[in-house]
Amino acid sequence: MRCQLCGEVAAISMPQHRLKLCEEHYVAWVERRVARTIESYEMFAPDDRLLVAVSGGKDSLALWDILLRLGYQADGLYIHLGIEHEGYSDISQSYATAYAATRPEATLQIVNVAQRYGRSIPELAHGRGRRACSSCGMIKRYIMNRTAREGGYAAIVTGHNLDDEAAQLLQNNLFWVRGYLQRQAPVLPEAAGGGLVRKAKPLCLLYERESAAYTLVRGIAYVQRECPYAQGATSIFHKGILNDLERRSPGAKLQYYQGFVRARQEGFIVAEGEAAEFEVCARCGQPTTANAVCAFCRMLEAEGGL
Amino acid sequence: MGDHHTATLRYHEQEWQIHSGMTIRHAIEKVGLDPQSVLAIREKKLVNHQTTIEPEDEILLVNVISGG
Repeated sequence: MRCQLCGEVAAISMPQHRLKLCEEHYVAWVERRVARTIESYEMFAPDDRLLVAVSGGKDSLALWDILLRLGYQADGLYIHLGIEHEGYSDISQSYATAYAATRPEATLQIVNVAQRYGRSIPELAHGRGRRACSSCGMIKRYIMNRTAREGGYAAIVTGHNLDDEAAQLLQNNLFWVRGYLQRQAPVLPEAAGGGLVRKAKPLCLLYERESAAYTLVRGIAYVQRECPYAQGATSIFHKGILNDLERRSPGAKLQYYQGFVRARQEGFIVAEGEAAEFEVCARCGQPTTANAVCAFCRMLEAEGGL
Repeated sequence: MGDHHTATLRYHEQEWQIHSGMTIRHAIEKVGLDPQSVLAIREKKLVNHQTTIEPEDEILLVNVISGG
């Protein structure tokens, strides 16, 4: 099997794009694809300062690498969750710092949840009587937004890939959760008078397989172990269903997601009720739709952390 | 250990001795994995799944699906 551009041995075949490429042309293809995604969804401008949410995994490190190679001013943010099972959070951080050490033009900020707020994410989740994942999402969004605001970043960028987005869409579709469908987008503009920083997902049209292949070809080491709390996650089950579909019909995931994004842009998805009104949290000054105190501060107060 | 007609396939902590001459895709399916969910590395290089396995090859399979 040969690269369709140069005739060298192909490293990857992508039936969904009817494309076979060698390593060199594959890297160039991924970078062009991400650049086009950023442009077509008007995610951010070339001179914007970006804050990349870096987990130490393949997608976020691939994203950071691509943005830097495209010439963006992109700093990293690693949130140490305090997951101690087999040293998961420490190991993940070591991959993020190892990559950062290779890119002197970028900085990596590290926020250690337990050191800053007195409790790790598993402890905070346990205190709320919730699964770690639901607290984790809320806490990470809070820290990302706060760090971006305080650092004057134009946008937070995350490494969600096409498989992540398609699996999320399937989950939202199954139960027609209109509020979630309305908020699922390649880019969410700044809101709450600038209190909520713009969020973008530049890898949203890149298959998970393509993102992993990019990281391997570029020689970027990343944490391959799964988060211990993600075992048996619904998202993995949904990804399996979508991969079955993809096997029978290459390109199905891409069509499913892009079709949804178009429908959303054309106004087919309308959230129930009125648009959320934002207030300022009396404790931390972050925007909130709750009365007076945001969910994050309420959680800390319940834990005696404030 | 395998003889000079076999190759080694590794995935996480699992290891299989497989016959050379088949494609990587065939080998992945033969050990019960989904070819879409793994990438194959040989001699630190990404190799496509249609590649024929040579005797004494050592092929590392990398999972590409993550949750959360």
